[in-house]
Amino acid sequence: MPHRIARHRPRPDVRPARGGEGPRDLAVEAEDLAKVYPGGQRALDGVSFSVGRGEIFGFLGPNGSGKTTTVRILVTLLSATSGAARVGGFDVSREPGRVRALTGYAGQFTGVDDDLTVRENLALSGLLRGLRRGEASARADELIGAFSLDQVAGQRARSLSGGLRRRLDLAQALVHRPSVLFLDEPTTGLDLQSRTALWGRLRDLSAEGTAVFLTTQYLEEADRACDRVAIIDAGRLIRAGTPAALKEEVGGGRLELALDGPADRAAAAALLAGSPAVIRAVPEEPDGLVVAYVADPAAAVGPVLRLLDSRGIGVAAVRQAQASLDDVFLRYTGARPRDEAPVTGTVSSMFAAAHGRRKR
Amino acid sequence: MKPNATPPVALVLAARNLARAVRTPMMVTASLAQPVIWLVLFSQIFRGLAGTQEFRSLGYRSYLDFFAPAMLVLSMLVTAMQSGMATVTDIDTGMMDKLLASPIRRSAILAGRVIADAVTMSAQGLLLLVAGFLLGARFTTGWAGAAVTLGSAVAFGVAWAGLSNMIALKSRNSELTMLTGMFVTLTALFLSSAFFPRPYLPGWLQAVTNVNPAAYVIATGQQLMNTGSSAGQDLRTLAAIAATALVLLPACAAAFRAATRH
Repeated sequence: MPHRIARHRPRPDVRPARGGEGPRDLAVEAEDLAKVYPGGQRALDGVSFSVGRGEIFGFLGPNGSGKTTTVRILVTLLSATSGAARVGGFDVSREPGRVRALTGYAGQFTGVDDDLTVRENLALSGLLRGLRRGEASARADELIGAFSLDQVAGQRARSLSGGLRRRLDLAQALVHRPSVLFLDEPTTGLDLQSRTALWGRLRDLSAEGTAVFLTTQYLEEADRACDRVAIIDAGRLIRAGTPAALKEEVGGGRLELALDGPADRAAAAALLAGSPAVIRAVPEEPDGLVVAYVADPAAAVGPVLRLLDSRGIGVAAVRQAQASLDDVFLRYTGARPRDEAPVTGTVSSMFAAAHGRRKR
Repeated sequence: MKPNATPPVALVLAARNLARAVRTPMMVTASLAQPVIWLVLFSQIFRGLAGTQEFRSLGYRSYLDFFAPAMLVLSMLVTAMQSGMATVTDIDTGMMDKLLASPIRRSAILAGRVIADAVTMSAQGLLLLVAGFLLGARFTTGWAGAAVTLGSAVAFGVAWAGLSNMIALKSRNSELTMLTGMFVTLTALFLSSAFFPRPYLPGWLQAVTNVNPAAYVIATGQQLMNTGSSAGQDLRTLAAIAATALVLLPACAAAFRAATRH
């Protein structure tokens, strides 16, 4: 089911000019962004990346890694302590008005007015974006159709389920046909069906030239849906690239070895790490496995088993698997993004942190 | 409004702020019925006071006539307190972020709040005047006096709303906004002739009323209803309202800038 968002106005050249790699082709550019909050907490520490037009760019990291801080800087809700960022070619701190006009934003805590109906919320968003009254209501109806909100269009937002709320929030962010869309954790709390539909919509938007910058903790989704991803941890951007390239870096595949009896897994991993067929080997704690990252699991399984056998380490079972972004994450951060307990802060404290006075 | 007009953002936001209030029936009941109920109760509780020679000699016909203008101001100040709480709600629900990420003037956000407050206060005030009339209160100064009393109460209420919004933006905490606002508001009312005529107050309290802007607004309303207008009192009240607005509204705007500085 296509969820195409019709565009009235022809937009000038949304694709990168052929051969031209200049900054004008970039929807988002961040250079050495740093953010120190008033309490002295360093939320971002020299983050640089760029997002091309029409690209779906996933910002991956655990809670508190700096994802939301980055998004808030890019949508002009927060100023960077140092560094620079441009959105659509406009500097976020020097020309915030221009940036606001061309971006759409849906944050983690949705800006939906509970007491307004779905249609009124959409129309309000349109009016805030400078649409005329007639345009705003026409656009609201259009989005209600495109996002299958017809059943609830007249209901107050208060009565919406979490999934419908997110859908409304995304629709609101698109009311002015932004060329860059920022979504902070858009799939958190959504059921599988809503997620699939959301990714479908994002792909459609991307096909029409809209750049999508999103943060997520769901690596599997990011792997499938993002053109490129960046991994951020403790305020530092650790790695960026296409999911395929990142997975290749850690070795495209993994061999999961269950050792016989009380074998020393750390020693086995150290042994395997010395093998030319193995890129990296680690004992995996929760499963009691030894995992060897390899370029080609099928070709590596023989040498790996022979090597272990030569030292008298018995192997009870071997499983071959493709490397995932989880492995990439584990490799560079030493943890999976969702291993940590969820943050339980309130919106006010986030607002306080985000809008606190700039440190001089 | 014509369908192809671009409405001013401040009006759009004011309409939205009012819609929020109107669609919560308890809010409407609380903000419109409560002042009327208080007016009825207070005018009954203190009715005996009006029987004393001293009270009558001050020119007050009844406690209702004495208290109705003060009740007008009281209800404006309570509404002004709620204004800040609505701001906290907007912050909590992410609405403020949405507004700040839109290409609209920052001042329109505050203006939208002020306009909505003024409309709410005017509606409350009109209802109170009608209720007072039905209970038997009459303005010695007629329609003009009623209009000035209402206008000055609304203007003062709007300026006062700057205080609760300032607390709201600094604390981002609705309980604290409520408590602080309640304390300041009730104190301002007690340090005035709202409940008892000024000559009944102890000397030090009378002195304090001289520096309490709310006391001027209340005293003027009481004069306009009971004893007639005096140009001096009216001018002092105008100055008190202007001073309150000039202190609190810029302070609120500054708190807003500090809270949303990007």
